Amino acid sequence: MMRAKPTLAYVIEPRFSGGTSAAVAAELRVAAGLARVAVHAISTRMFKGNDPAPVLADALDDLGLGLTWDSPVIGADLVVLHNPSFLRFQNRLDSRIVCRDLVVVTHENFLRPGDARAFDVLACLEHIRHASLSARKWLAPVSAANRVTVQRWLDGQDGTRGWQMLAEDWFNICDFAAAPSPNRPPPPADRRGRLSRPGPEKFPALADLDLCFPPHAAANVILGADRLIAAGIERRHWAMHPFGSLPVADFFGMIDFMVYFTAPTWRESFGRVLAEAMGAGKVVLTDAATAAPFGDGVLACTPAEVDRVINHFLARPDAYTAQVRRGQARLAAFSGAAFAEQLATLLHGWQERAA
Amino acid sequence: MILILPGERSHAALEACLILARQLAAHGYPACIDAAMLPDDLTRGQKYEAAIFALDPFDAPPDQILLIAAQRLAQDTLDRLRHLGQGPDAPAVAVLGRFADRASRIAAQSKVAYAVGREPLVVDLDDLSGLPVAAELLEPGFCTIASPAPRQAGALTLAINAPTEALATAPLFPALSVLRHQPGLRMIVVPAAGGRDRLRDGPAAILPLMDPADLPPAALAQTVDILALFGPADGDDRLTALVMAMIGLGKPVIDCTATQSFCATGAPVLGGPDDPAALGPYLDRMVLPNLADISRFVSTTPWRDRHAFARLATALGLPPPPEGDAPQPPPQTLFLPTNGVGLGHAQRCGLIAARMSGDVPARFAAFPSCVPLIQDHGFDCLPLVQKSPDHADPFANDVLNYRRLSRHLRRGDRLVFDGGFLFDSVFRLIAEKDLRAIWIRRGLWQAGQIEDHKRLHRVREALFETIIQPLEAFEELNEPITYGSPVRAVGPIVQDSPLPPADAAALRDRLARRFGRAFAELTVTMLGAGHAADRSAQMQALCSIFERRADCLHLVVIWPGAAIPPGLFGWKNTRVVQTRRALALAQAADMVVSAAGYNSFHEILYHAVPSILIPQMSPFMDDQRRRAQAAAKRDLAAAIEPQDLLRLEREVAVFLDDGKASDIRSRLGTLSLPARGTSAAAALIGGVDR
Repeated sequence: MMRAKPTLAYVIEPRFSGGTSAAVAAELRVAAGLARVAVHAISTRMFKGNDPAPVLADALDDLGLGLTWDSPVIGADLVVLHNPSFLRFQNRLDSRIVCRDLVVVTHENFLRPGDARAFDVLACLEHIRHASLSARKWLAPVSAANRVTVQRWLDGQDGTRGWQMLAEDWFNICDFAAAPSPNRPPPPADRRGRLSRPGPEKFPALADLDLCFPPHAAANVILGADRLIAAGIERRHWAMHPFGSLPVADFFGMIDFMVYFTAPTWRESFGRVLAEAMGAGKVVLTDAATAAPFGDGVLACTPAEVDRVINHFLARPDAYTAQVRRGQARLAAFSGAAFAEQLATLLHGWQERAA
Repeated sequence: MILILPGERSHAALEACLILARQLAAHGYPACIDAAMLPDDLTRGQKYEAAIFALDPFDAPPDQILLIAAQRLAQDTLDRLRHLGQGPDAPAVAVLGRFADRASRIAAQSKVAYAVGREPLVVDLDDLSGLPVAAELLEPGFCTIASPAPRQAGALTLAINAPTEALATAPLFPALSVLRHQPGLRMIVVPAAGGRDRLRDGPAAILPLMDPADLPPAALAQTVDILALFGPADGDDRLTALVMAMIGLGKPVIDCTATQSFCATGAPVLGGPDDPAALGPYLDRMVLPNLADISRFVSTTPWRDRHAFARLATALGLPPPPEGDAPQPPPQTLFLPTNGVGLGHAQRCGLIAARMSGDVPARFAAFPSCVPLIQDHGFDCLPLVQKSPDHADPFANDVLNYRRLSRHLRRGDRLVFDGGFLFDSVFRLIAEKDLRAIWIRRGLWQAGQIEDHKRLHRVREALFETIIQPLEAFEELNEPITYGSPVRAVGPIVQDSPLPPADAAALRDRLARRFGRAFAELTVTMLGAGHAADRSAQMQALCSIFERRADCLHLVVIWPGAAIPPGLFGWKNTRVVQTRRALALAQAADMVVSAAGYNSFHEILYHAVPSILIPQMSPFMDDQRRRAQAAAKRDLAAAIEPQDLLRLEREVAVFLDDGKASDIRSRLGTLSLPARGTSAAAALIGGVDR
């Protein structure tokens, strides 16, 4: 007898403008084939308005899925709540969650470098715990590095309060349709750039930015430079663009090297923007910790070493091509197919256990 | 140097920065605030206080940054912090705030960490000290534990705070109208910032009003013995700082709010009556007889220990402040004469200072026009900045002088102020530095000036330990404008004769050689430089009068540096002399034509100089007309109104041709005048000790 598709409910704050919404959108496209999917939006004080992020709205339209705001009760076999930090400014989660398994995908690191708390994790998880009735509650890190911060946070708590760590990483799906063929890319030029939301955590010290984007580079394109512009930072050799003012594909068309460093007190949990750059056929440079999820697909260095690394590739176009290939090869591990296989296995296993 | 950054760029946050900066400085920690974070349109009080602490931190890199009011962290602040706090040699950053919840605290820490690239020290003030004495505060809310300055004998000072509107209406207004007459109490009323000026337009103007921005809270607390509060302090950092300063000094704070909102925080304040009419009896029966016990209670509560500044300093990891056992120089005496319209104040102060005894020489701070005169007296002089129409604010020069004097004066110094209008700078410095202050203030005010003076200065006057009033030579001119024990009258202050009688002929000979012409008559005109009144017509008339006298040398004496009317040149008998030694010329002259300012008038009397007095009358000056007439009715001078030029010509002829000048000189020579008060004034100043 064919088993009925399990029910899968997503609980999200759909107005995240960055990686979380992009990851959820990609995930919905995969999950819709494996389960009967419902998407629930929670309105929080983090954002205003009711418009979901465009990437998410597109996915919902494509899949014919509706977005239900603030349901009193959310019920499904499996409920996946993406990024609990959206509850950071809430006193509670008003929706009741009833499910067999509850997965909380930890898109943001629980601890920042140095073990400082990234947000009030305990409050957010307690809001979820108090609002939910489930057989099991899982914390699902998005990468190995993210897992470390979640585990260290859990270790610092007085008991787990029923939370278990999911063994598998709930990684971001990185299917980037626009990726050019890596077989015969043109010789690289010293065209550098970075892309991020304009948040201060996304930017290193100005001195490090100067090292990454020097006057002698052929191009230095900074997309997401809103704060630099507002603060009156002027560099004639920088092309600064506000976040969202350029199509991402256009941005990648303007650079050969993605040079991405953040504030040392903050770290990407997954680094979706790096995966996008790799997908677009760019060589990516970042710090060692941020590079870790992508292995040799991303070059780890310091801002002071950026020039030396780029000069190496400018002198050896073959090495540049090889690096692009390595990056794109690493993305296979984060494909929609890989995620579908993992999700199917989890769903099957949980169904088996429930039976 | 500790740099204080506000969480947001606002007036309230600036107030908080200034309060903390002053508190740090008082504990021996040099502190500053970032000039780039000052809001637009500072209030007058904020301009004074910011002048002391605001600077460009790139000119003086700080050792530590304290970010306060982090519960209101704005992007402007984070951008500034990003500039100031990054790099290997960047100062340590501490974040102070009262956070609504843990999430807010973490958010503040994270934002700062992103801005400076390392973790700041975060001090949650609610965790550190518990609830503050009022809600929605931006300043940390800690008190400086100190012993109050020894009280001077006399009335206790009661400060009343209430919402501005309540002060103008019943029941508060009538109750305070009565209370201000209560014996043994000196009341000051402190409405919310800006309220004083609104109240001055209504019936509440009779109350002794003070703007809370006139003084830093800690300085105000030093001058107040009891504080009664009829309104909450929520969101009012300045008022809260005043309450905390009072508690730190162990002084009574009476909570007269309807909800007893201060008592509710656990602060060691007294629960007083919310009916203002009951405050007087409450003070009489509950507070005044028990001041010592109340002080002991306030000083020993655990609440005060939790809110002591030392607790904050420890949390911030500040090193212990310097012990202060370095030898301190002895207190100095600084004379600060205003320049008025002439140099009379400086001249008077110079005479008194020359009579001062003691190991520590007196020093001066004065406006540029007075500096040479003071140096002639043999004293150092710190130059002050003169008012100018080119300044953005009419009080801008006083802000600069405040800053300059603040660096020059030390706690416990003596300040001798001579002038009619008490500058904000002087008032502030007396209170802030606990100066032993003496005001030399001559009398003979015009009608209306006394009320203006009381309105402007009655609160400020109380900061002076002594008010020295140099008397007028004639008794009917002596009307003290202030009554009470601090006012001490001394005889007229007049300089000694610079020209022995035997030397007059020699001086006339020197003048003849100097100007290359012999003369039989020497006349001197001293009508000022035109600041108070335009006397160019009178001087022209005098030049014309003396031009017609064959053997006359007419000297027009002008202070050095003053503008010389061009019409004075070209007369055959007239010469312009710029000198600070006018008296010697007057003594050598056959007659003088002079204004009737205090110094000129008394020099004329005491040195027997025949004179025609043309009073200078201006709303901000003394009553020279009465002074001139007092001499004229005694036949000791002639008094002529400025417009009476025909009479002036006749009077000159009578003086020089009919012997009136000689007669007056004779009468003056035998006149019995009051003993001079210069030495007495010097003794009073020297005797102002605690």
